[in-house]
Amino acid sequence: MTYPADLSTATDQEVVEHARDGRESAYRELVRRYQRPVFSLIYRMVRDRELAEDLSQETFVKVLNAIDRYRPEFKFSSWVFKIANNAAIDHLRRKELDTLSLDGGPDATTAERVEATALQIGDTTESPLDELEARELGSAIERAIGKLRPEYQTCIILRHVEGRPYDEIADILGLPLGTVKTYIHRARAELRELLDPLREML
Amino acid sequence: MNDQLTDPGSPTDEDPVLDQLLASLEHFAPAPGFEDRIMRNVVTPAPRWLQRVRDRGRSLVQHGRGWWFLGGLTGASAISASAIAALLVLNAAAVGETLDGILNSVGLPLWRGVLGLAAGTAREVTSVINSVSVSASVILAAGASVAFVLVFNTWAIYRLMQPVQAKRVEFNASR
Repeated sequence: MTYPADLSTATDQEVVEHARDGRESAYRELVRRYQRPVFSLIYRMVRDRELAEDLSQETFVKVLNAIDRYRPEFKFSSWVFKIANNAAIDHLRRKELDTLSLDGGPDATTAERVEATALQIGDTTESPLDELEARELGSAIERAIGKLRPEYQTCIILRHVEGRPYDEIADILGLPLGTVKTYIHRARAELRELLDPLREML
Repeated sequence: MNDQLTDPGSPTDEDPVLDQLLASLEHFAPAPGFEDRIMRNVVTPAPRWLQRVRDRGRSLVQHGRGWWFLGGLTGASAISASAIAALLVLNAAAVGETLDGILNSVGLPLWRGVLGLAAGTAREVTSVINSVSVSASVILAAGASVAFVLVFNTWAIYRLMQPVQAKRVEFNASR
């Protein structure tokens, strides 16, 4: 196989073939192509930059270490987004299970018990990372997307940010095409409702 | 389900303001060094030709054919060595004369030439050193640098020969 010096013009399937042949530059090219879309998707879902980086890294490590099992008849982008979405959803589910009440544990009946089991809030001053997150996710549309259900978020982001067709979104999420269209329709309706009070300013 | 209601492209779903806002959403970038952090945890496979050679070798061993191959190779080597040894023993005088001839006509002149080259080089190096006036400290520093480079190269080669320590993550996503 001849190795082109510049992989930036090669298709995903071609780059994957080079990666399977042990070329590290091909692996790096795949990361370069998808790091921003994957990170953006996960970041908008988990709303935490550091966490989004960890989950994105986990996604790419899984994808690249399993590159020999990738089947070329399916789109590489679908495979990457599927793993990224699963990583974000798994985290959100774990977080839901682990969430403690700020007002104390469920079995706390006395004032002392409530105080003992309440979640302690630490330092409330904003770190530079918090400021960056507030800047990036602070716009009206970003805040509105943050309020959607995770499935709706994924559909809206894949459709309107990544420009993926409905059938690919259905493939990524493992849902019927009709369900994807329904989710996008409902997500748009919710976004309209959330942004309605701000319409005059937009 | 009513397709008109569920189809985002239908008239009931048109909203230019919302579309504009969604179109303004950008791609965020992770922190610098993201690619390197990923590559530290990725195991890149050997080139495919090497994988094929390894697979072939494993297949030969698994199916028992490897033993036949090794046996054949060993047998051929043993026969060749025995034949050469027998030839030498049976024609010892002729072999001795031939070797003497090769040594006299090629070996000795070659050896003399190598010695002359070494002697000449030593003379040239000595004359260069004598012509250059450098302080002892400079010579010491140069010597220390050469020693450092040698030690560093040895360490680098040793590190490069270590097996890859990257953690292999099992892929568990479903299709």
